[in-house]
Amino acid sequence: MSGRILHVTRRVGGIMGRLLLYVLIWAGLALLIAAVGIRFYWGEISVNQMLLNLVSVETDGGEDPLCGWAFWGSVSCPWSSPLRWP
Amino acid sequence: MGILGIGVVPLVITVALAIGHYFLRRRRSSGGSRPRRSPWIMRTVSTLLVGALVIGGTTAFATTVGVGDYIKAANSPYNIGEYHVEPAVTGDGEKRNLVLIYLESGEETLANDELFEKDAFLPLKEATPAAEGWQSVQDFQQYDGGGWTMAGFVSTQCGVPLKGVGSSSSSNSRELDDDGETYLGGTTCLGDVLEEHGYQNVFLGGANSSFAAKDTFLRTHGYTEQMGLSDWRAAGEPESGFRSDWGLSDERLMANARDKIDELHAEAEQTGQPFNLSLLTLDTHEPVHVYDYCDVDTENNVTSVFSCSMTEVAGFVEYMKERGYLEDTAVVIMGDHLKHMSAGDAFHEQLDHHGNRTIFNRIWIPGQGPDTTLRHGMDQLSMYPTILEAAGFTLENSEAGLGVSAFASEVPGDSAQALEPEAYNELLGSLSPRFYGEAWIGSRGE
Repeated sequence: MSGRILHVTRRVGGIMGRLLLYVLIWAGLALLIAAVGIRFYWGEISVNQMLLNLVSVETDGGEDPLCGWAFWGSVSCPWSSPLRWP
Repeated sequence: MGILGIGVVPLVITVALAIGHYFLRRRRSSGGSRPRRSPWIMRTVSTLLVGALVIGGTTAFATTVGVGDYIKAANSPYNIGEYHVEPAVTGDGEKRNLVLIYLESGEETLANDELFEKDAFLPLKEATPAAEGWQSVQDFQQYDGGGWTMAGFVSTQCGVPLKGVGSSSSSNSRELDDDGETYLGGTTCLGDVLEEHGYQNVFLGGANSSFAAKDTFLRTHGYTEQMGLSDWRAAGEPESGFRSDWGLSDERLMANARDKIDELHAEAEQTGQPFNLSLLTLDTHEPVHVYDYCDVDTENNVTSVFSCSMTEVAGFVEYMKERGYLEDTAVVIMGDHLKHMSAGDAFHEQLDHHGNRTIFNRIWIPGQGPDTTLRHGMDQLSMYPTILEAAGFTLENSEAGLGVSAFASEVPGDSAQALEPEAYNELLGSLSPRFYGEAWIGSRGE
């Protein structure tokens, strides 16, 4: 019985560990690309500037469309009302 | 592109790695091939690579958005609320019409023809000569953090640095102004003061009004009419007058501004109620777009585009002069911020190590001669009381927000402007959660 539990625990642990590994790879890549993109298009900015622009999803006729570049922007912006993120 | 870059590309790479790894494991487990190296070496190398990616990505992002400064600001002992002054108008007997022109990225440094191929501001300088009474604040500074349009608007019209309540330590910060109907509604800004004194506030800009919630800011602060990209399209502006990524050209904006000032001035003469016409240019936002009315005569077309934009604004100033509007209308022209310096932008060689980058500005007050001296070296926050005094108001101690009017010969001792530079910068950087919490709540006087 304990052998079976140990086997299941090892298997679940292995899957969780692999999942964590891929989440870390994804997060690292997303942060790196966001940093490069922000530097290229806007230069160094402040946290305030980033937060205040997260809602800016328009691609036409605007300024500082950080939303798409921000790490979580692609997830949160389309459902955010203006100024949800001050 | 952004969503593709951040949302999709990392996901695709990660999934590709996972699939590749899965098939490699299957091949090995089915005995198809034997690992040439010890699995422990492979695991160690993989762990180090993933660790480097996570640490590198986090560090790059943190330095790009200044997380360190943000943490320092969160622990600052300063509070903007302790220095903020509600503007107290002590007289409006000489109130007059106001034209406020924001020049996109209007940095005075670009007027240096020793650094650049030509003085890009020459057309505007020639239209606003000191000999005729045009004044300017020498060494007009951008406050630390004021390098984008909305920060320029808020600092010069409300006298405070632009910050959100996302920084607030208040547990219910997300409840504040969650509906997005107001923008710093708890703060008294230029449009509010003017509206209270009977002004009609109108804004014309070439770009999308709703971008960065500019329309919400203007609507919250007394602007009853605003025109932006969608309005120009609806009005049937020719397609050649638009740039696809931004909006209406400065040439067409100024043409519309001429019509609007004719209308507003005629109304003001009839009703006796003054107006505030605010404009924001866009040609000079990088990457620049060369419209057909702009002859590029410099190696770097950014210099020519700046010059062409200034020519358009100068044309509008000349128009006001010809029509006699300058006899009863104050004019304030200023850059909304310094020129952006992202990796893809021009003039890194000239500007990256420049010791004193300043914002272009000109002020016209009817009847005022060339002998007036404005306070040197002030920043955007002091432009708020300066504009009010240019419009003919007198203010208690010449103060509004954190600023002191450029017309004041002395700065009050308890003003933020009297702080030492280091303390002042720390004050502007402080998150001041209570102040901004109240400022974002929604309506003044609550």
